[in-house]
Amino acid sequence: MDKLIKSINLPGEIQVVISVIVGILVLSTLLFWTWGLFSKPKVLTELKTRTKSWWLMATLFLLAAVISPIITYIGIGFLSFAALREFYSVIRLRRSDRVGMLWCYLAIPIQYYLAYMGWYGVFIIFIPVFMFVWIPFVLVLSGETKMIMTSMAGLPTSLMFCVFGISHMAYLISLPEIEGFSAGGKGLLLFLIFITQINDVMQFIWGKLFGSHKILPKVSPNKTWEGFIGGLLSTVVIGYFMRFLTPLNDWQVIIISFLIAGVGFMGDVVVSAIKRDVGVKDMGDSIPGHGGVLDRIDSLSMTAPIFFHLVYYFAY
Amino acid sequence: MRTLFLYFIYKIFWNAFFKIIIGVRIIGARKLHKYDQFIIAANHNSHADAITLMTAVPTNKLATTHPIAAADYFGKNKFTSFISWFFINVKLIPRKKTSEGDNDNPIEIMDQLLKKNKSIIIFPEGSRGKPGKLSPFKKGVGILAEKNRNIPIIPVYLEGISRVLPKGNKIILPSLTKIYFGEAIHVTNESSEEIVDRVEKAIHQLKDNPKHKLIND
Repeated sequence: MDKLIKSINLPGEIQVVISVIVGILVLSTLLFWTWGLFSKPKVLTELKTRTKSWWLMATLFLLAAVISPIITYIGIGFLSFAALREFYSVIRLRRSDRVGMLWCYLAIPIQYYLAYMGWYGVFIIFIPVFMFVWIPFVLVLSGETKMIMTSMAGLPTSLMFCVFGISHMAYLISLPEIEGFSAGGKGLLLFLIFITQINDVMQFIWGKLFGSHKILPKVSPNKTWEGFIGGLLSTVVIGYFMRFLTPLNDWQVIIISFLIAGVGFMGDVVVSAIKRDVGVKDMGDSIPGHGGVLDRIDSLSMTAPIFFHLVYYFAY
Repeated sequence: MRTLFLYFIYKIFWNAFFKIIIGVRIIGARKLHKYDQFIIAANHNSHADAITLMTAVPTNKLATTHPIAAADYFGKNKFTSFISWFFINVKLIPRKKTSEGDNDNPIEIMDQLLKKNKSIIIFPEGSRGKPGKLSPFKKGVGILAEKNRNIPIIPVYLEGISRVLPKGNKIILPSLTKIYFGEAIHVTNESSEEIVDRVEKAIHQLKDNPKHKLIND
């Protein structure tokens, strides 16, 4: 076992984060367990299923992030695939859109291969430029023009949510090394995911405890101003303490954490609105307590590109 | 030998393909282990139905379980009928009874399979219906069960599979699909019409269960 740990050879910063994550999970599991001894409110069952799923997700993610970079690329690519599949399982599309959908699925390995190669110029335009032209053209080839505009807009947008944004997480580990910054791309990836997810959790906690003023009652009835602002402030504080994972200075980390919290909220409500439109509560039910994969990574699809470009601007 | 071959095909290849790539989830298929022989009655939306159902069949019963398919479609020539037997273990039957002899009677062929201790997968709707809607059931399943009262009927509802491979389309796409295996129906002394009615009700129940509503068909 010792040999295995040594062979993986983790930088000290990453070992600290892993201990923090495991610590949070152990603490919350113990907290909910003791709570359950005294009373059994309905919210506790939900919290317990959620925590159980967090254990699974954290384990899978940390293993994928730590074992080898190739596994990380494939893992994040599969995340994109699962999200896109959920998206296409719930939205209404025409029969003639199936060729377009096939091309969208095929775009996933290409986009992740570009991230793996580190070919930045093509990586950054492949979906927003090339696929945005190619998908409408493929749809036109089917000859069916009724309602084609919805599909022309919907299919490339699905790629933006599920593939383009998320693939920036993979590109983080392709970034060149910076001297004197030992955590590297892995550290940046951990920071991004940790801060985005902790922001979701903090918004949830603050909202459940103090939430009363709804932000968008028609779209996402659980989102409150109290939850949003409480989550934003907690995220900035937590981000500040996790700054050792990034090559940034104090101010830069505060700005980035602030933006991650704000943009994460945007991703969340945009996907919520799509769910309301098609009339489903969650995008899927593959993660007990959370819904589908897309419900979990909706904020990441927006935070990943923002984080990536800010870090690129500040540190490279 | 045949079991081993079908094991590789279904339990390894098709299972991995459908579960990981397509996103199929099978719920309640463990009860198939309890019975030596069964009639699986499912709704029919897609050519992928029979294969996904076969992946849920226990390994030791793969070789003796035959999905029933129409000969006029899959048996167009020797090659397609060989392929569908060899890889899918399909039993082809004529869709309509031709006038002469008992050999062509579809019910008779299925009855003989059951008499030989084989299990069958049938689609009582007759042919692939509209997604999310059940067409009225044909009488066949009732007549078969009346003749073989000891064999349980397992009602199955496939949800969302029409998005994987819709009727009249050649592109297979990933799409979340769920397959619900209902409680076995043990036939006692009902008439064939009553049996059809029970099976139809059971599949409607699986379909309309609010817990099962997640995917838009």
